[in-house]
Amino acid sequence: MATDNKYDRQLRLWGSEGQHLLNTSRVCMLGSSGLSSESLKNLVLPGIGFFTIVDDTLVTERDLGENFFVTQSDLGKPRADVVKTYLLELNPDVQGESLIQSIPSVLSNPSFFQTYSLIIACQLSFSEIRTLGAICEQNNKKLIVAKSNGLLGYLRIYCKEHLVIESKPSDKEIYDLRLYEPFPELLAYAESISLDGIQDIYHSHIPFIVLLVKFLKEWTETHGTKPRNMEEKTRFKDFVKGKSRDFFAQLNFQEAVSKAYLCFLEEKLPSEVMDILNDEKSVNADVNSEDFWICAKAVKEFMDRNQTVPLSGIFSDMTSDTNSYITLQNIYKNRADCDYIEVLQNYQRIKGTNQEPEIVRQFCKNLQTLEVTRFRSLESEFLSINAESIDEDEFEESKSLEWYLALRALDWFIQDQNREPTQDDKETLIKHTETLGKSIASEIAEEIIRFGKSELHCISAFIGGALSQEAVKLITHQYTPINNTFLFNSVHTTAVVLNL
Amino acid sequence: MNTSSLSPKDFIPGEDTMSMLTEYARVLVIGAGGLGCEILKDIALSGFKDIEVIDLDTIDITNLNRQFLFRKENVGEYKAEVAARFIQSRVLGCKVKAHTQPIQDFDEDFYSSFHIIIAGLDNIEARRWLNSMLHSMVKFDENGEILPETVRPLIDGGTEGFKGQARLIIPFKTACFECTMKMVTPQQRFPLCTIAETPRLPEHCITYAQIIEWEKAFPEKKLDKDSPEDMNWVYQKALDRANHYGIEGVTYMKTIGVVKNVIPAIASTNALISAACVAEALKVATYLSNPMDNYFMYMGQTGIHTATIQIEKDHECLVCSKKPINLTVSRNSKLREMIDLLKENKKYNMISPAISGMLGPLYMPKPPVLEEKHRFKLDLTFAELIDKNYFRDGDGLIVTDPSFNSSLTLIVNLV
Repeated sequence: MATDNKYDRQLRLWGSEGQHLLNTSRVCMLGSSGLSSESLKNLVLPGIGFFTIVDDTLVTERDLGENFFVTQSDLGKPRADVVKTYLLELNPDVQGESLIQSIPSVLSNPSFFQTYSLIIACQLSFSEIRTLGAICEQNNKKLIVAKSNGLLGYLRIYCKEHLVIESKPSDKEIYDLRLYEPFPELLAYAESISLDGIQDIYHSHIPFIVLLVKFLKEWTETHGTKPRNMEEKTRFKDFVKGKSRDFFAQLNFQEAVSKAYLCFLEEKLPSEVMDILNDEKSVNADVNSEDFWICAKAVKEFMDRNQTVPLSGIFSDMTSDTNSYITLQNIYKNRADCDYIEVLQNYQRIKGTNQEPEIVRQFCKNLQTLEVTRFRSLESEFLSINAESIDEDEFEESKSLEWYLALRALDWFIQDQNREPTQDDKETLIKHTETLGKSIASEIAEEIIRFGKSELHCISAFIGGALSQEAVKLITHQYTPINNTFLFNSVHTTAVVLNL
Repeated sequence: MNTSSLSPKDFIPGEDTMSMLTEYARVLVIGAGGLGCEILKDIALSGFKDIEVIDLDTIDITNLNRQFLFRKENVGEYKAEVAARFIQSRVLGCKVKAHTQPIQDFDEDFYSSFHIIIAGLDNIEARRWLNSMLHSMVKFDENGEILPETVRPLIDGGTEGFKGQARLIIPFKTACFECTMKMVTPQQRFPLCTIAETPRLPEHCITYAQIIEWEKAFPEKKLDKDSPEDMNWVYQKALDRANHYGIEGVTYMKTIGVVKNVIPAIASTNALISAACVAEALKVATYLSNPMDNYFMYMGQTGIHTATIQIEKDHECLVCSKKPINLTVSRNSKLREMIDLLKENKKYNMISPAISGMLGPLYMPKPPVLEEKHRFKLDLTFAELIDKNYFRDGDGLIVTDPSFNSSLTLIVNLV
């Protein structure tokens, strides 16, 4: 064994900060069926701090085919207790308890939820979900609701506001190089390097950043302005290419041409990030605000004063000799440090402290990809589905909405009639979905009736997997959670996110 | 559950379906790691009772954050054995047989004895071999029609961090694993000149220590990637080199990550991809609903993005097109160049091809005695090979490679 850390494979994703947040989290699980135990299993393994399972159901024959964390010998015992015991075997770092109480009785005491960082509710009835949604809205709690019926399953996230500094987008490379308006140290370094009369090997190892800073300056001096339109930009690229000695052999010049667009971009933050900095909570941040909002205000003050964005210090690999690379990296790093210090001073003044919490540095570093998500409450969804968010032309989305409404109608029917529907109740279900905003196809109603309350293990395992990914995102404040409903349909093996 | 208008026409609900599931279907699970543990649980709870599992690996402490059938006291034991034992004790009436040999040790009769094969593998080589094996088992009648009883569907899952995919491969019907080899992103390798002459990243220093410095210090000894002493040595050397150049960020954890090419792995992703695989197995076995067509992917890092796509067959696929490989080769090019092409071209991606013709072997990469005997031919041109009567223009060649369980035909068009 090269390492004795059992969390090695996940630390490479969310780091020790993320792991610390997991280790100190408290999760409340309502329900103890297969969906509950699958979801919780994937949270116990990576090491949440503590969990409570609430349920007064007893283990029956049916559970043996649905729930891996009950056995034959547990028949008749409280299911929450049995599941808790087996789950705790998975990870000695985790503490857990079971509460053998009916879910409605726990829901009648909202203060019960006060100490939990995340509440998860699996296979609850329609009215239970509604009550719980209201509790979480009033008490500012994070909630995930999930269901598994036949070949369908969904999960729904609610929290008033979720703040993410490290969203770690996988699909885009972030550059913050200030080529449009190089800062003085960068300009001075670029100018100190001469391209003339040096050997080919050195010429081929000058970082593209230096090339672009030099060439943009030269171009601007000749033309009196930076490249402004398509045609000038293309000509600038040709100009860069023309400076090479052997373009096809010089990787650094190829990089310069492909990154030339960075010279044309004024240093601006994405509009979503500007919205965050201009948010009321940022503008009004004071000593009592959350650190996130104090950081936002501190950065905004920096920008107002300097008319530019604090440098992130993010620096990727490029063709270069070692020395130039390290020198350049340090130029960016030092500049980012200076900007950070100024933001930190703003932070300390607003907060009335002289501490230097890591969050300020992280905030500056990840400025371009900050995220604030505010979720629609369950109650407002129950009053009316956010139909505008559904693109009717997107076949997958619009069909998925029908499946979701079918599940809602099923829940409603079971609660209303106190029984599962049969194929004779098809029209009743279809009629009900009309009141929810969209009538469902007849074969979808038939299928949902066929599913009834049956819980297939592999559907629960799928939803449990997706649910625990989202739970980890909510707990660690890293990556981007869905907003707000994820539906998996194994009839067609499709899955979509709906903002309801 | 009852029948419905959306399930396939021949779905017969009720007792028959269940007993077909529980008594008839034999399922082979390949891999008892992150995906394998989940697949075994899901398959057992879905009612399959006759299960076998293959995995040659033993349990490591870093498996415990997701491979939930193992405990700390199992570290060092065979994964397949511990997993099989656990499932049998937890799910009443379910029989799981464990195998701890490489998959290549099992023959056609073995693989044919299962109805469904579900793979949770962590490497391309094993997937290619398995795919090739399942295709070579398929027999055709005199009209060239597939004999359905010889077809074994393969359900293949894979994960990395928050991402994963599940796919269904029905030999000769759907696209196969080999059809999509071009989509596989190769492992990142740093150019030797960068790591030796212009290191910039901690990864460059670590790779230099691992490849160049280790070889220099211990020419006789292979680096043991699981030994803390060996890894510490690499880490120290990498750190020295990084300090010399002013490069920051070499840590022990990063050293392990680079040297072992560690892929991040979490419980949740394995759970959902395995579940998607088993849902397909259930549909294939019971006609509960239509199986997917034929590739599902999940990306959970930024929101959730999923796609279900129908991957098209590659009509020149080495495994399922039933067409020979056609290469146009200059008379003046050497045999070595053709072999390099078979190894380096993404279309072929071979590991160490052996080539024979009608006049006997042209080149054998192993065993060393044979390799030595045929080595001189690598530097002969095709014109010379013909001259010396090692090769006849127009003859088909037979290529074997560890990526495939059976041989391929290669037609060389000399120009």
